[in-house]
Amino acid sequence: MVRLGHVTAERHLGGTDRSMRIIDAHIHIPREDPPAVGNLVRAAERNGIGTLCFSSLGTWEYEPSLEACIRANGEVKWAMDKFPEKVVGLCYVNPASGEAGLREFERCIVEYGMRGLKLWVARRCTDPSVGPFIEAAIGYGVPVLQHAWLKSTGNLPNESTPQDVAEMALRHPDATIIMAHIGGNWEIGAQAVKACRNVLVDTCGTICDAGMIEYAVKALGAERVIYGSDNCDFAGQVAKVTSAEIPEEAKELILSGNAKRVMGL
Amino acid sequence: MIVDVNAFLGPWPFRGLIYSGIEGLERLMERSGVSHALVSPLESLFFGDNLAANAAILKLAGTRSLIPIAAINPLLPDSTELLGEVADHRAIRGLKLHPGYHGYELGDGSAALAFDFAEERDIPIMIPVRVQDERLHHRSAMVPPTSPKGLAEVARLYRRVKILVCNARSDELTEVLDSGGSWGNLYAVVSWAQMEGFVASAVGKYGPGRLMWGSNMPLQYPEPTLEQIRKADIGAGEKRRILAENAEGIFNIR
Repeated sequence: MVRLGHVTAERHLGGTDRSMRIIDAHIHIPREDPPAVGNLVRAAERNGIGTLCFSSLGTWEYEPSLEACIRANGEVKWAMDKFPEKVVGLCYVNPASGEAGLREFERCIVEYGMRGLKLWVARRCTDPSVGPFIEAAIGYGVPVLQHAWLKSTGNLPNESTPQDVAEMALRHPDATIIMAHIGGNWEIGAQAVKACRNVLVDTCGTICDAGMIEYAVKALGAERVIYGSDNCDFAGQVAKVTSAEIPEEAKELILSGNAKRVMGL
Repeated sequence: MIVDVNAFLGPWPFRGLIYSGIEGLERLMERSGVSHALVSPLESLFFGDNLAANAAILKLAGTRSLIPIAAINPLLPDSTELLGEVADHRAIRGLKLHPGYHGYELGDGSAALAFDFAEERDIPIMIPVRVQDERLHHRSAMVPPTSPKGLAEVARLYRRVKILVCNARSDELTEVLDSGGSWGNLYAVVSWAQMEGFVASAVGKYGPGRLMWGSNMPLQYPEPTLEQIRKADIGAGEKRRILAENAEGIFNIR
C-alpha cells in the first residue's frame, strides 16, 4: 500500500491491484546529470508513480540549436532504453529550426517511439514558426506539452502566456495541448483556456496553493487536468492532487486516466 | 504528535480561502493529523497597527492546538507596546518577522528591538522568506523575498536567538544553512522546498536537528509538504524529530 497524505494511492486508484499506476506527464531529464534519471525512477516508484513522461531541455538554453535538441532527445532515448517499463519520451525542438526540426520530430516519433512534443521558451506559441510543429503533432496523433507562465515579475522574452496557449489552441482545434503549470497563475490560466476543449492543464511548477486543483477541476472538468511533477518532490506533487477536495474519480483521472488517454498509453 | 511551525490565521486579500479562521485551521489539522500549529496573523503583513494586527492572536491563549506567535512590524511606533503585550502573554511562544512586507532589510538594524526581546526572553524568531510565490503577486503588491545573506547575517549577530527560516526554496535553504549554519541557531523549515530528495539530502548534510516542518496553511494545504517528510528517504526517528521533537524542544510544547 502506498500512503499519500491523509488518503492512500490505493484508495484513489481503486484498490491494491491498481496501485503504482500514477503517470507523471511532465518531468525532465536532470540538467547536466542524465544518469540521475535512475534516482528519479526509484523515487517515483516509492511514491506510487509507475510511468514518467520525460523530455530533456538539454542545457536549458532559451534558444537551443538543432544539435542541442538532438542531443537532448538522445538523452530521453537513453532513458527510454534504460527503463523501458517506466519511461515514455517526449521530443523537444526549437520551432525556429524549421524543416530540420520537423525531421527531428519525425525521427523521435517514428524511430525513437516518443509520444509527444515538448515546447518551452524558444518561441512564443503564437509565433508562425510553431504552427507546422502543431500540425505535425496532430498528424502523429500525439499531444503537445506547451510551457506557459503568466508572471507578475515579467515573462522571458518568448515565454508563452495562457492567453497565447488559448490562441494556439483555437488555431489548431484538432491538436491536443497540455498547458504546463496551469499557466502559472492558475486562476487566470484556467480561465484563459476554459473555452478551448482541446487544452488540458498540468499541475506542476508551483507550490500548491490551497484550492488550486479544485479551481482547475471546477473550471475545466477533471478530464482536462493532468498530474506532473516537473522534477519537484514526488510526494508533495502527488499530495497536491490527493489532498484536493474533489471526487475520487476525478483524482484517478488526474493521476493516471487522462495521461493514458492523451499519451495513448 | 505533529507540530506545524509555520501557519497563519486571518484573511488573505488576494483570493478567497477554502479554509480560514480558527475553525478552518482546525479542520485542516484534523484531516492531516497535525496536533499543534504555531499561528501568526496574516493581517500583520498589511496593517499599520501591530496591536490590531495581532488582536486575534493575543486572544488565543485558551486554544490547545493553536499556539500563538506574534508578528511584529518593527517600523511601527507601537512595536514596544506589542512586545509589552507579548511579555505579559505566557501562551505566545515566539515572534514572526516579515522584512519584505514591512520594508526593511534584516541587516539594517530595523528589527533590533525584536531580536533583543527574543534574546532576553529566550523565544525563537520565525522569518518567512515569502508568503506567496513572487510570480503570483498582485501587481499592486510586489514584495521581494528576504535574502539568504540577511538571514545568515542576523544569525551571526544574534547567536543566542533561535531563528527559523520558513517558506524558502531548496536552494535558498541550502544557501542559508551553508553560510549561517555554523552559528548553530539557524533552523530550516520545510514548507517551500520542492526539490526531489531535498529532505534526505538536508538531513545527510546538516543533521535532523536543523529541520522542522511548516505548512503555510491556510494559503497552502498541509499535506503536500507533510508528505515530503513522511515519504523522505530517512529514518523514522529523523522524521519524528523534523515533524515534532525539534519544535517541541524549541517551543516548549508538551
